[in-house]
Amino acid sequence: MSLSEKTDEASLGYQRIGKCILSLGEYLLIYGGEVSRVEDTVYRLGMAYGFRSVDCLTIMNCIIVSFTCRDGETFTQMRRVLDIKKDMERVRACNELSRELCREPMPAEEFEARLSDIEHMKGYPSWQVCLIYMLTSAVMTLFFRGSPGDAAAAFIAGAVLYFTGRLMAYARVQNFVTSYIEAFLVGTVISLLISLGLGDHYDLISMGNIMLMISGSGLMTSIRDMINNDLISGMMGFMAAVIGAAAIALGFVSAALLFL
Amino acid sequence: METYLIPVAASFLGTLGFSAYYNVGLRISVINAAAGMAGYLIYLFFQGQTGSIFMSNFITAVCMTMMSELCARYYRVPTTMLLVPMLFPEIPGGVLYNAIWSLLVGETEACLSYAAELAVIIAALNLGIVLVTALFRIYTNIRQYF
Repeated sequence: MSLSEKTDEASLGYQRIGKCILSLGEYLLIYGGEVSRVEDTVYRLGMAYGFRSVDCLTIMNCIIVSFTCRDGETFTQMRRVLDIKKDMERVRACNELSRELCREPMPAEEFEARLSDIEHMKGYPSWQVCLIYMLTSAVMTLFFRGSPGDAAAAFIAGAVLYFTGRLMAYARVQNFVTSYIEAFLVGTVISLLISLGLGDHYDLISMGNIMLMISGSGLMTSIRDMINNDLISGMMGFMAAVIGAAAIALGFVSAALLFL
Repeated sequence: METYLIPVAASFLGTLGFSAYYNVGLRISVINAAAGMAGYLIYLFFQGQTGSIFMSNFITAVCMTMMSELCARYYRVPTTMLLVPMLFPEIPGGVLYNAIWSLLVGETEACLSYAAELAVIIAALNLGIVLVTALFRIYTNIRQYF
């Protein structure tokens, strides 16, 4: 094997590892990790794999990493993140994998296999998730001092929220529109249930459902990002959370004004 | 006392449900639920003592962030996995709803009042989180040298 072939092979190996590291950062961002966690993880892994330097810039929906190899060669990779799906078990799995890799870096094949395991991790089955929506909505209506009838209406509305959410995932429209339509449909069903005699307080039933829809984590993560000097991500996350919350409340209120 | 029984029990079950909604495993979800309920009790206590929305939310955020940072270190899980569900009962969903409702029905004064309350709650929660997170970070950074 000639020297140039050897150099090419080494470069390809570095690029493959770089891609894996970037994928791990991407998963962290998708599943709800903070920007600082993504940047820290990418940096630590890069150093553990023997890169001379790693420069990572992450904003809410994009990661750019520049790796400098031992031989001085530099390459840059970028990943655009379009869909954020909060999944804390996957964040934990990414964190664990990162710790393992920092202790003892594994070959690229094994790294890729572990990433694939994280991607295919199973969460709660669909029927359980639906039940979680229903129960949490009902319980939160009681939390806001709703009556048992209100809780029963929120229980049904929780199922509508779950199925609407799944349906809207196929629509692929802007988050504001998705949130508004979801809230409007759930609000319409609540109005219908009240007119049928189930539940009395539209506001309390809606609040029970709103609590599940509002991105509390988005709000808190964005503030933490701002404190960590990731001002761009923090501001973007904060605005997204505020706009999303406004869309949700607007959906519920406009359904009430139309149908109640 | 009885007036608070249902909301306190609901804060436990609601936090449990919210944890599961974020696909947190059962063991950590139960810890989150217990902490979420404790947080709501702390909120109610300080709300009763001080009558201040800011102070009650701030102290709750401080306690919950400390709890989440300690639990995260003990169970070796990301802090976010604990902190976000633990503060679930304090998320101002009701106030937000009322603010938008007042806006749409033309009650401008009520809307401004709710919006101000919303801003105070968010500021108090985040200030509490930031304060404790910063203290833990300082401790971690200093400990590296000793």
